[in-house]
Amino acid sequence: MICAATLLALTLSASSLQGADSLRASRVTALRQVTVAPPSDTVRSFRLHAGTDVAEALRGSGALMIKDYGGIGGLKTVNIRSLGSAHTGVFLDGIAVEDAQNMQVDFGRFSTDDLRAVEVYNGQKSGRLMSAKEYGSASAVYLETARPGKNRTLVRLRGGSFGTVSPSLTWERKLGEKTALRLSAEALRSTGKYRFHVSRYLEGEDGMVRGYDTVMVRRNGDVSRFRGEGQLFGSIPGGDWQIRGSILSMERGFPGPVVRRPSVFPLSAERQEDRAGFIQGLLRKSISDRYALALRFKAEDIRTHYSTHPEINPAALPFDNHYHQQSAYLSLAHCFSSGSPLTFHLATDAQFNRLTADIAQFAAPSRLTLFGGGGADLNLGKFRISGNILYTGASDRYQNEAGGFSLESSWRDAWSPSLILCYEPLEETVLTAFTKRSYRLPSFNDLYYTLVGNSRLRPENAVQAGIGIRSSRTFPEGWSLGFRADGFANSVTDKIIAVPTANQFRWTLYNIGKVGILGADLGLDLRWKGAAEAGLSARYTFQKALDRSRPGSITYGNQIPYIPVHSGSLTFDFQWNGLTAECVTVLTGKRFSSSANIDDYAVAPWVTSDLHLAKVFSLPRDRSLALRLNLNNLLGQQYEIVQGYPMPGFNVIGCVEIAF
Amino acid sequence: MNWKTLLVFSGILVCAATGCRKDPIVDPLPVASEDEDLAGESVTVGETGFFTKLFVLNEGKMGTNNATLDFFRFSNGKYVRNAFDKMNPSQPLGLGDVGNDVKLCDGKIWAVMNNSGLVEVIDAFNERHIATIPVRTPRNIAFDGSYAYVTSYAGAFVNYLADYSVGEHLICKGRVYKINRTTYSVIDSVDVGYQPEGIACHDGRIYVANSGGLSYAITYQYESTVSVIDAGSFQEIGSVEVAPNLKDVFADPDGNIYVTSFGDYFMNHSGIYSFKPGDTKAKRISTEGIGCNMTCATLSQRPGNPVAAGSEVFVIGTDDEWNWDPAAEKHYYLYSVSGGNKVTRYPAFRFDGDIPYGICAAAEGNGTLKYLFVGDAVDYINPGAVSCYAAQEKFTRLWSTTSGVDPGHFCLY
Repeated sequence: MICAATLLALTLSASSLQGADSLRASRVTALRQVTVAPPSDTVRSFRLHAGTDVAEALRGSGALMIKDYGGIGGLKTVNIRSLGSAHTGVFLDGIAVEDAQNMQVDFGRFSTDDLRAVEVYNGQKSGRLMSAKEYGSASAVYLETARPGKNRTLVRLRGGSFGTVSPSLTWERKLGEKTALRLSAEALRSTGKYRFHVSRYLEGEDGMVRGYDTVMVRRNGDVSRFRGEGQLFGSIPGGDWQIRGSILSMERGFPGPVVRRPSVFPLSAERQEDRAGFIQGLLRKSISDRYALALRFKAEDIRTHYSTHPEINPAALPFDNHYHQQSAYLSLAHCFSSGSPLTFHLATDAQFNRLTADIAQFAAPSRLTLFGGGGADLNLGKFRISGNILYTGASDRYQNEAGGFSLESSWRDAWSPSLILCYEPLEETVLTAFTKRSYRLPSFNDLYYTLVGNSRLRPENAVQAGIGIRSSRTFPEGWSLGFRADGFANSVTDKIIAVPTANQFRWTLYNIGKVGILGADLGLDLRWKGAAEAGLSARYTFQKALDRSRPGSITYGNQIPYIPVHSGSLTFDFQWNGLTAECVTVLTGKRFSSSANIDDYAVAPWVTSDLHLAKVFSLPRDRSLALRLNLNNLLGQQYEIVQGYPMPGFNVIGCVEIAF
Repeated sequence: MNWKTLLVFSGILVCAATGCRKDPIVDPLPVASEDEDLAGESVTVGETGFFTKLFVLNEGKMGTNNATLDFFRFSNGKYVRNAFDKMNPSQPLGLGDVGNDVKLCDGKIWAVMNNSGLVEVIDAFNERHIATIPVRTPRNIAFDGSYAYVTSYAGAFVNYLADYSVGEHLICKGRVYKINRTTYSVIDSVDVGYQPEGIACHDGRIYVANSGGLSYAITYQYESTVSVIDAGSFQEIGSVEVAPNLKDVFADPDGNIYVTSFGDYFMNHSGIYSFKPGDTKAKRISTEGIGCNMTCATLSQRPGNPVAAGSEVFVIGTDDEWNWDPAAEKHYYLYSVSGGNKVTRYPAFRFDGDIPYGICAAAEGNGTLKYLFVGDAVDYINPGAVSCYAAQEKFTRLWSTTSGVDPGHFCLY
């Protein structure tokens, strides 16, 4: 993707890309190879495995903002380049993870177990045999699992702050030459309790500062989660296939925003139970030297029970609802290469979603979305170009108040073109440019939420343009220096902004109208590899994401909610003799919780430092023992990412892992 | 500032807050209030001999704890934002979350903080905290004698078995809490219909508008009655059938009870109804197709004037209430209702704003409307605006200024 430019990658270097693919059989590599530009950021495995979820691993990477409501069970979403979390596609082994109900993917749900890498792309990935959906999102996060290479059993026990205990078991077997199996199970339990401060100081007219500082405890943030997964990987002549089945059962509480309330009434008693299962599969095959195809499918069933438990929290509005989401997805992608530098691709996807709920007059919407895309890649060695166009059309059916089915506003469609250019004037220097239009449909919640009303939200369009340079040099004695700089200009029209209301499950949605985004990412990576390996990465992001909706309004020309103008991170890592240490410092500048950029809505800047330590001991007979420790928020800073949702102070998660 | 200083200041504030003034409507004020020092925005020239202040309760956005209390001071024409937090800086978490009603009684402002589960009693003279009364999910407040009555969504639990549903649903009856105005304590409560909203007292009876706005998702129907409670025995003694989804109740001095209905958003339009004590059914007041689901208020009147406060109900409504298109240009109309069914129109009124969210009508000594204050919600989540229209001059807009989020509730002091 284009983005190459972008980024700031933490650890990235050209070698990490090759490393990613080297785990696969070489003939598969040919199918997967990145043809135009590398990912903007890659989170490597050593960061992945100590923490409890992917959101934690993504902290401090790339020009992405993680919106985190705090605690292990709290919602965590990812927003790339101010486009909004609904514009971030999430792909698990190349197949989209999505939630048609609210279009937000909770990164807290994904375990880091079995993940090989997490890749972040601005714009889109440009690989071969991509599904049409992969061309659709404005930016993408790819979660890649490793294919088992040998017979192995992995036992992990994690635990630490917030009363967190999480055992997991992974069992990997090679079934003959061509097939491999992985079964894994993970359980997690956490009380989610932590102490936090609430304080505010006001300077009076007399110059005196008065205020309050109160310590409170976050309650009702407990979570218990069980996940079971089975994955089957296989090779066929000229291709490969994989199937994954997964079940998830999760029960958690939402601690709710911190508001003034007498101590006799709890802040929240909201609970949510999720029972979800999916099966997905992928088959890729080269039919001839010139033609390859990929088939993908997914079927998912999610049942959610949400209750505010008014009998425990009488201040809550009484809700007790069951939701049932079902989806089916099928994709066929083709790739034609003529042997010349030119490669053509074509992909067609179909997706069906439906949502039912035991709510009176519930709209019970269903949606059929068709994606059709095609394009061409031209690879002239130093100069590479990829052009694509995607058509998205969605038809909604829902039950209107009178009963019957209505086809009103049933068809929404759009064309999303994209163009990626990549030029390598010198060895290790890449110039990239891209432009893309993408389109996101309003979610079922946006459109059909009974109590919020039938909001006639318009779909949201994002137009992106970015240029970048990435350069690296190696010096004698194992030193290397990498530099990257990107500029981007995005425009979002009819942007739907989701902000939490009194709870995380329900949102206030509005078409903020128009947002103009101008930004730049800068990154510097210094590495040394000798007897040991050490690296230092610095990243800085500047983003002006300005509300351009209504000239003359109080919000016009102001920064949109929760996007800092300045943000960045500093990462130091050290690896020696099986020992890994990494310190990530994330800096986020002043933000506003509203597009009205007045002091009443200012959210304080924050800095947190996390330290990840890992030591792997090799034991006889190909066994190993790994000890991992994540020390988060080392300085115990009190901060909020989302106003009203205080984040935990210093906390520790440890992990013991035995592989045999 | 360290915690010791904080403690000292909290102590000072608590002491200062205990002084409650009895009859504040005296010109000029004998004692300068500390709130004179608060920075405010000059929005107009000062005026004396009228009310002292207009209080504006900004609801805030639910869950963000940003309800605020603003005031406009007539004597110097200044608008002061967030006065409660400024005058009570050591009150943890400020005024609270979702201010749903504000009324003045005996020199004190009673602010009903819905999502904070409390009623905050504030000195109208200097915006200092007096008392906090925990009440579950409070909605609206009315006064009668030495009691305050607060409607609340949190009454007894009922198991409701819906035919389309999975198992039983727990839903809550509404409740009215009776609060002693001198001890600030809840002394009694009585259950009413689902999700009661407005409340009014007249002649020993308490009238409560039931909405059913939340239980609708389970029961499939809105409430349509006003519950009548006998103030003496504090028991529900009857109900009056009105229309679906009731909102506000006003009682005028002659015993006309006015009730507004939001309607059901697809079959029954909103409207204003009236009945007399003893009636079992309310009559719709003909307003020729103009809904009244926007905002209403009774006429406010300084004590001692010939025409009693509350004798007239002012309504801003629209004839296009089911047009959900955000781009549609809406037309708002002002009318008033008095004498049970008399409708007066004010065609000269033009609303310059986005969404009229709350109004306040202030009368001159002879009872005629002098100022109409309108709160504009703009987009519901960002700071709104408060405007003042001069009724005598064909509703010229005298001033307009930025308020807090959702300026929906007013009281004059």
